Amino acid sequence: MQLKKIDILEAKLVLQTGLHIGAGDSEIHIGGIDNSVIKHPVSGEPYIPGSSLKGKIRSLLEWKSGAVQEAPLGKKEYDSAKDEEQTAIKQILQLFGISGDTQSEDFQKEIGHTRVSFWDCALNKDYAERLRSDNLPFTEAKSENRINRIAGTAEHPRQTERVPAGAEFDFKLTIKQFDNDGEDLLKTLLKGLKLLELDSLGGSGSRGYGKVAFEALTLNGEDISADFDQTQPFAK
Amino acid sequence: MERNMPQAFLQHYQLFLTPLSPLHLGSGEDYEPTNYVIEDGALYAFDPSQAALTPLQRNELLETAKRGDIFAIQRYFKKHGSVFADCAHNVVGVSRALADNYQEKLGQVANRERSGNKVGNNFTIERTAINPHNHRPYIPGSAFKGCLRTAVLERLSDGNLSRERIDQRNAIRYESNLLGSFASDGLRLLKTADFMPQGLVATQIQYATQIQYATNHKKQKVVKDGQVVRAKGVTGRRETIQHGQYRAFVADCTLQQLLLAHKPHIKQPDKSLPRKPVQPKSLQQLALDANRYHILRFEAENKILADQELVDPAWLQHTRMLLAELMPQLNRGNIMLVRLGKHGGAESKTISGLAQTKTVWLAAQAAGETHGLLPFGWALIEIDPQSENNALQDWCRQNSSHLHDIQAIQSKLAGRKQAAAAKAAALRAEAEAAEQARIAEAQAEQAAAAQRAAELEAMNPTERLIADWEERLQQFDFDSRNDVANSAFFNQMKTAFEQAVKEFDDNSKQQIAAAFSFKKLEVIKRGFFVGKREKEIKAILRQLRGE
Repeated sequence: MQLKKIDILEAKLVLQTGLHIGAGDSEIHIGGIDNSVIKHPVSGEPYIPGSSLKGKIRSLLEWKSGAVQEAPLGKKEYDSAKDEEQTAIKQILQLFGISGDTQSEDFQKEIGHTRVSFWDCALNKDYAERLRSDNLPFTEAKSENRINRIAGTAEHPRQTERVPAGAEFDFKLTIKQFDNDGEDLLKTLLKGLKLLELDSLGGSGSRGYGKVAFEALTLNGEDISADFDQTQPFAK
Repeated sequence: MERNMPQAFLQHYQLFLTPLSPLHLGSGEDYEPTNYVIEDGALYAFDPSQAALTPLQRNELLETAKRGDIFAIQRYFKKHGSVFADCAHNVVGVSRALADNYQEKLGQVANRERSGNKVGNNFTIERTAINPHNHRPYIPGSAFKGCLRTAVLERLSDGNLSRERIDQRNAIRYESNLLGSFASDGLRLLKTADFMPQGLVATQIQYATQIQYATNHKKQKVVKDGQVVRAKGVTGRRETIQHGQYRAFVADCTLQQLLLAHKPHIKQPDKSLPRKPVQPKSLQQLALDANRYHILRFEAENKILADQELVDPAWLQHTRMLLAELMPQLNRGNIMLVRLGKHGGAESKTISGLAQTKTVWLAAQAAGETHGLLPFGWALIEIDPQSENNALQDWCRQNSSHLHDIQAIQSKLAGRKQAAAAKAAALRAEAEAAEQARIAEAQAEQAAAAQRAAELEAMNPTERLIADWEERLQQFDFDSRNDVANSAFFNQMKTAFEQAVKEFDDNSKQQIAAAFSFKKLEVIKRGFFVGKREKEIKAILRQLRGE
C-alpha cells in the first residue's frame, strides 16, 4: 500500500442559520448564558471542531448506505452486506476509518488507512476582522421557552449562545490517495458534504439551528464548486 | 422499495412565509431610549459608542450621567438625536401616535410618588428577533416547529383526551406520552431552518393593546346605553414584522425518514426511536395538522373580534376571502396557516378546550384605539410553490397601504450617514490642512535657523561673537522681577566678553567694544545695565578698548 498523494479540499463554510456547537458547562455564571458555544481558548473566537464535521458526515453517509445501526459501521456489517451496499460501506470505512476493527489484519489490509482528516475550522480572518472593526459580537444569545400546551404558558426560559447566520469559517480537509483508490471516494465525500447541507450541524438542528453551505470549494486550489453544486446525494 | 437502493432518507422542502398579520417574535432584547431616537417618523437604533460627539456634547453626557437622573439622560439623547441618528445601524418605521407620544412624553415625569420617587415612562420597546450582524429580522425555526408540534399534539390527543386527568403540571408527561420525548419524539425528524428574510423586510414599532372581553365570560359584547362596554388593559410597545409582504421569509426544511427495513439491532427501541404513528410521513401531513388546528381558531377568534368591533373589518374580509380561495391548497397541505410568536393567545397554543382566555392582545397604531385593530401572529407558509401565488399577491397588494416604505426609510438613513461622513471628512480635511500649515511653518523656521547657522559659520570669530550677542540681546526677554534669569543671562554675556578680552587681538577687541558701546546697550535693553551690572559691563568694555 503506497501513499500516492494527499489532496487538499478547502471551502468557505457559511452559516445559513445560527450554529450551536456546545462547549459543555465547566462553570456556571449567574445570569449568564446557559449553553455556551465552543471557542478557541486564546483568541476567544468560536470555531467548528473537525470532529463535529466528521461525525455528522459519517453518520449521514451511514444512513444513506441503508445499513445504519446504533454503532458505527464496521467489519461485521461489511461482511454481511452485498453489492452496492457493500461498496457504500467500504467507501465509508476507507474514508472515515475502522477504529473498532483494527485487530483483524486482513480486514485492515483490505480497507487501508483512514483517508480523510478533517481540520478544525477557524473563523475566517476577514470576517473576524470585519466584526472587530464594527464592534460586533462573535455570538448571539437566542432566547427560547417552551409552551405548556395545556395551560398555554411559557416555561423553561433559557438562552442559547449561537454563532449567528452569515458567519464564515475556513473549512479544510485532506484526503490521502493510495495505490488503488479511485475517484469514487472523493465523490462519496462530496455527497456527504451535500447531505450535511440538507441536514444540520451542531445542536438543535430540528428547530432551525446549524444550516450550513459550502462556498468556493477547491480541490488542490482548483475551483470545483460547479461540480459540487451538481452533486445529487441520492442519485445512483 | 428494494433494500439496496440508495433511498432519499432526507426529504427536502423549501418554505416561503408571508405574514398575514403583525408578527412579534421576541428576542429578549429591548430598544431603550439610550440606544434609539425617533425622528421624522422613524426609529434610529444606534450604538452610543459609535456616535461622533463633539467634546462639548461628550462633557454634557458625562455631566448628565453623573447626576444619575434617568429622565435627564433620556432628554439628552433626544436633544442630540440627529448626532446619534447619523451613526444608526438600523432604522425602523414607527406608528405616528407612538412617534408623537415619544416627542411629547420622553424624559417627562408622569407622576411623583409620595415617597418622592419620580415615575415616568421608560419607553422601552420589545424588539423582534434579529440577526446581530445585518440587523434584519428573522423567524426562528423553533417558533415554527413549536407551532407544528401543538397542531400534531391536537391530532394525537383527539378522542383519547381524558380532561380530568390533565392539568398544566402534568402537561409535559401528557405530551411525551403522545408524541414521545427527546430521541423518541416524532418531531425530531423534522429539521427546519430559521426563516431568513429575502431582501429588506419592513418592521414597525407599534402598540400591543390588551383588551379584556368586557365582563362576560362568553365573550359576547356587553352594550350599555348604546355603547359597547369594553375594558382596556395595559399597552406595550412592540416591534412587529409587518404583514402584506409577499414571501418575505424563506427557509429550508428537511424531513428524515427512518429507513430501517434492514432491522438493525437497537437496544431500547422504545426510548431511541419515535413510534411509527408519530413519525411524520411528509411535510404535507404536518401542514394538514397545522391547518386543521389553525383554521378553526382563525375563524373562532375573528368572529368574536368582529362581533366586538375590534378587528379591522377590511383586513378580516380580505383575509377570509384569501383563505377561502386558497382552501384547495390548504386542504392538500401545500400551504399551511400558522400562528407564530407573542400575543397569539393561549387558545392558539394549547389543545382544544383547555385554555379559556378573557383577554386578547391586539396590534394597534395608537395606544387608545379599540377599533380597526389586528390580531398578532398569523402567517401563511407555502411548501415548494411551483409558481407565483396570485391570490396571495393580490391580498398583499390590498393590505400593504400601511407598509412603511422600507426602501425610503433605509435610503434616508443612507443619506444621513453619507452627510455625516461628508461632514466628518470636511472636519478631517480642515484638521489636516491646519496640521499641514503647522508643519510648513515649522519647516520655514527650521530653514531660517539653518541659514542663520550657516551665516554664523561663514564669519570670523569676532563677527560671530558680535552677531551672536546682538541676537541674544534682542531675544532676551527682560523682566526686572526675574532676578535669576537676569543674572544668568548677564553672567553668560560677561563670560563671553571676558574670554574675548583674553583671546582676541586688539583690533577685534576694538570692534567688539564699538559694537556694544554702553550707549547702544542701554538702548537695546533699557533698564537692564544698571547698578552692579552697569559697573561690571563698563569695566569689561574698558578692557576691550585697551584702556
